[in-house]
Amino acid sequence: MTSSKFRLTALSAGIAAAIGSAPPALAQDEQTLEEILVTGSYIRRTSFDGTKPVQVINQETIERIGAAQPVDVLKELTVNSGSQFYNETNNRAGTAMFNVRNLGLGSTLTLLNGKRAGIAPVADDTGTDYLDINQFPITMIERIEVLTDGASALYGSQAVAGVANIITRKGFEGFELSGSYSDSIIEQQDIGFAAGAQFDRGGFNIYASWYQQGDAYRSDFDWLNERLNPSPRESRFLSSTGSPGTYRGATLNPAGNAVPTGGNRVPDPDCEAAGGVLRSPSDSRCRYLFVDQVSIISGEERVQVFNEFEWEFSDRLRYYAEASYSNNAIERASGGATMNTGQAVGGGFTIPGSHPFNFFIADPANPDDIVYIGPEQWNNSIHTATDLQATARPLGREVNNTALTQYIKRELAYSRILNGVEFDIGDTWSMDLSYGWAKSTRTTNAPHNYRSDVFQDLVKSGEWNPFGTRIANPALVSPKDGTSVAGTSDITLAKFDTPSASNARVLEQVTDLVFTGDLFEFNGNTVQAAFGSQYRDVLIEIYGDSLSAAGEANEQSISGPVRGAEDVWAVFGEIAVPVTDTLEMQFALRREDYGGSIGATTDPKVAFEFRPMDWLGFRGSWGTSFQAPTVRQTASATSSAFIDDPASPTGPGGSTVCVSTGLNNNITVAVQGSPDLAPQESENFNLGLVLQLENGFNASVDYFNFDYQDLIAQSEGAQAIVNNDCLDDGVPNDPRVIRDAGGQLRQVNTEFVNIGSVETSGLDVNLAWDVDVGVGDLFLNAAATYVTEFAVSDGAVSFDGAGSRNFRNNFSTLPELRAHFGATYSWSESSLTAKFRHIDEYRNDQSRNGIVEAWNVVDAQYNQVFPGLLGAGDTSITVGINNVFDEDPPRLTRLDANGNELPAFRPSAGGVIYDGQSDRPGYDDRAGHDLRGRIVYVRFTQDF
Amino acid sequence: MRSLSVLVLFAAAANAAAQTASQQELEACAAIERAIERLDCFETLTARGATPAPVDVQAVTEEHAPTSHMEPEPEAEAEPGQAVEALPEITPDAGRGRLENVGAEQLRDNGREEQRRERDDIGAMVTEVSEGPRGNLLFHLENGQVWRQNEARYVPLPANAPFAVQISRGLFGEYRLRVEGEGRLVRIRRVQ
Repeated sequence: MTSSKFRLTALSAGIAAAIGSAPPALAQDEQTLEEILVTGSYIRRTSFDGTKPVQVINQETIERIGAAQPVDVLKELTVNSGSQFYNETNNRAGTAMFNVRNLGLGSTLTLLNGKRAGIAPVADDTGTDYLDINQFPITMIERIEVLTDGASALYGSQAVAGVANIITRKGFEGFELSGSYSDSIIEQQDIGFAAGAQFDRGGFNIYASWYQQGDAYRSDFDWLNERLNPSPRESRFLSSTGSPGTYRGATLNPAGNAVPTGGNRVPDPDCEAAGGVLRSPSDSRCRYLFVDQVSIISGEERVQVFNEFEWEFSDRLRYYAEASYSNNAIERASGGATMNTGQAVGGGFTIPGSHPFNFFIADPANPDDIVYIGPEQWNNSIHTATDLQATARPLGREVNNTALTQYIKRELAYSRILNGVEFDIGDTWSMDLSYGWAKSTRTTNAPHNYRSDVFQDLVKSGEWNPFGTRIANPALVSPKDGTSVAGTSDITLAKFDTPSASNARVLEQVTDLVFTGDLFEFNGNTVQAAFGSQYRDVLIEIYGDSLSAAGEANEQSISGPVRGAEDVWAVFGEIAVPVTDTLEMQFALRREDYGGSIGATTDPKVAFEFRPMDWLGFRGSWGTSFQAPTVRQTASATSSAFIDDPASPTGPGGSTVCVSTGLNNNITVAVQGSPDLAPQESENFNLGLVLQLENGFNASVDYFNFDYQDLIAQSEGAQAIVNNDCLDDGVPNDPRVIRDAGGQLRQVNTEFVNIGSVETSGLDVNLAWDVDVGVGDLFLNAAATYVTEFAVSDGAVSFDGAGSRNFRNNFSTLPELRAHFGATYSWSESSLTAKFRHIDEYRNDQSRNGIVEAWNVVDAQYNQVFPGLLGAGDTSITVGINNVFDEDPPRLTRLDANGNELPAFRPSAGGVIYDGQSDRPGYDDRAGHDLRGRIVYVRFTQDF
Repeated sequence: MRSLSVLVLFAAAANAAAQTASQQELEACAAIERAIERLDCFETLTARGATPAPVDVQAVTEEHAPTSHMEPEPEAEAEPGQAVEALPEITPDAGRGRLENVGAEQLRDNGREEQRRERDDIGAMVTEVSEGPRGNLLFHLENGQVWRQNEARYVPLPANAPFAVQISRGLFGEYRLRVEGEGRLVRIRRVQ
């Protein structure tokens, strides 16, 4: 041993562990063998023996990739695809989650120190729950183990594609302060510490961090402006519901509600002066530029603390506890909302002819049409204003990314307490009993919500002036009554403009009882076993804003409260049989009972490891797994989505007909719950090969195959419902599709069913090589995941989802190949790291499978340790650049019917329409392309 | 700090007891992992022996770790001759003599603090490096001690053992190892 040349790093150890056992160069010390628990088994072992396909990201790796928050580690996992990285329009902003194999946000079970650790207070569009990994301070993570085969036989629901186990630095001693600052399109900073003290019978640890990031609006991104927003007139972020708005002649019915005459549409004469947009001087609508109505990256501020404690009361009894709290305050811009009071036929609202600033008269030549007279020419003795139906947003420029913009404030809070005891029974058996309580809450406070009935009354009485004169000419005194002033007071505004508040609460309680120990000797080896039971209880409560719940807000759709609960009993057993010195078999079985109509599910798993040579091993597993329906799915969920509208209000009299004008709407998707849902079931097998050579070279190749059935989804996606509405009979008449007065899509109602399947297979390759070079140590590593198949079926139609954006199904972006290659050269007090990352090209199935280009980036980092700079401990300074060449995220390429890329401009009725050659939102929020561009960062760590 | 004094104390106690206890018995005691039980074991041995004789700690430590600079702690209880007396359980009336030193380490005296820190840096020779199950390193010292790497951090090591290291204490009394001539500290925990 002493004669061999060794230079081992914790970095290579992490990767070695990822691949298999320790490099053979260093023998394990028989006398100091410690027992460890590896993700994928309850049985303690004395070696990390490569039985399981487990990828490890340890603390050293986290530092070498410059991670400032847990979501940053996802780029290091090529097996992960389709996590939600950016949240323009949905409420997942500020959260992050694993999505191994792209099988869904709820199909990777995420554990903390081997135990369930709560459920995020937000869900994906299909109501699937996940654990928010951004709730943990980065300073507490020692490593993340990602098991990449199904493991419901051990852990229960959600362990379909695998298990991500976040492991804390328990046992850490001392005090370490760290922090970082980074500059990209946003600024990010964090500061945190890890502290711990250990005594002979136990110890405690405290980790904390404060993290802050700025926000970035759409127009902050040059490439996005180029693609979709070159100028207000040409922007693809224009809504035909403007502020000020567009008017049509109407008559009042006996209820006093406007009934459009079917005549012409006239934009507000002060449209542009009051902050609206006209595409051309002859545009028939005053439009609203909502490019900066939402921010792509939200401002966030997180305060997080995590404690753990452990004490041996006696040789046989050990007590342990964890307690944590996390608060994430998220700020999002709030745009001008639309207004449908329910008091105008077809939507919008009613403006009576008596309104002091209504200067429209019926066209003498065609009484259905209207003509604008204007205040200067108005003469009460000549003119009589006509009643109007208005399509408008009450507030526009006032609230749209100006100095007056108020933010939507969202707060995600997580509290968790875990208590457990471990008790030794006899010589080899032990019992572990724990109870975990995890609460997560979401509180959303928005500055504006409109009381539609009050608004309508104020317009009818003339107290609120909905016309552009309110902003363009606020001092104008109405020539109609000689007293009313165009500008409206804040007092009037406050009568209908109220803040909105909504909240959600999720409570998860888990009781675990696990027995582990030795069973008997077999062929001179010990057969070990574990068995146990689990009880889980989940409660979800979601309360929408009170006005919205009553259907009295700006939109008439109702978003009522959602409440639901679920309790689960589970029993499981696991046995590890060393058949020979070189072959070990593992068997596991778990039954989970959800009661009621969901019922029970039983899942087996069989795994083997065969190591015929020290340097060569084989591993494999077969098993079934499942994801149970969530409480949200058995209740209901709402979300929003961008939908291409195949219909438009271009028919006779402005009626809605099946003619596409290329409009794309952000709408509410309301999904109704169903109590008859069954679990999603998967069957998977893995086969792997592990190489560990004397020279420090390690490699593993794993083949994976998952067959996932009975997937829970909306009966049809919102887009499909809208498309089929036109395809079936050529008439837009599906009652599930809800439109406003202007014919614009507003909401699609759908429901959850067990439908569809996906079968996926592919290869994971991991390579690591630790070489002595010169005075230092060169560590090379590479990882790649190649997906050969991702066959999606919605029950009727099959779709090849490998290498696709999967926009039209419930999965996420899945390039066929993800890979990275890195090199770290460490010597004495310094290290230098370079990393190349590749996300392959894929098809944009939103637009005839145009190719979204590959994304290749280079990261670089330099680290220097200064011993004794401040006190006796080390000071470590790291400077790095991620995405050195500032590679833009690829655009969502659009193709025409002939398969050619669409030109940037195309002719339209009103002139030309700018397409920017990209679908909205102009980038892919689920591919892993980093929108921040080049990121320059500095990080320090100080030991005391 | 406290643990280190106890450690030195054990060495002293063990040597005193060695006059009557066999080397095997001492080693058996030393191998006990939990401090309180180890203490019991040593106490049993010393109780068997006659009056504790003054001990040459330097000789003891050199015997086990020739290249280390383990020196007795400045506190009175670490004085070689009083080593056994310093254990109140053994000689209860020794309590009065110790009182003046109780809490001395908590006094704010910068000069003293510095002295203490300097003394805490202990040299040792690593004869072998092996590896635990997760790739954390185990440092085998020349005196038979084994220390485990206690954090997943890069540790630069010389190409060949033996090599010299410095062991120091951190803010919360934790131990850290620095390979002489290499920069970085790594937190360690004694396992043998």
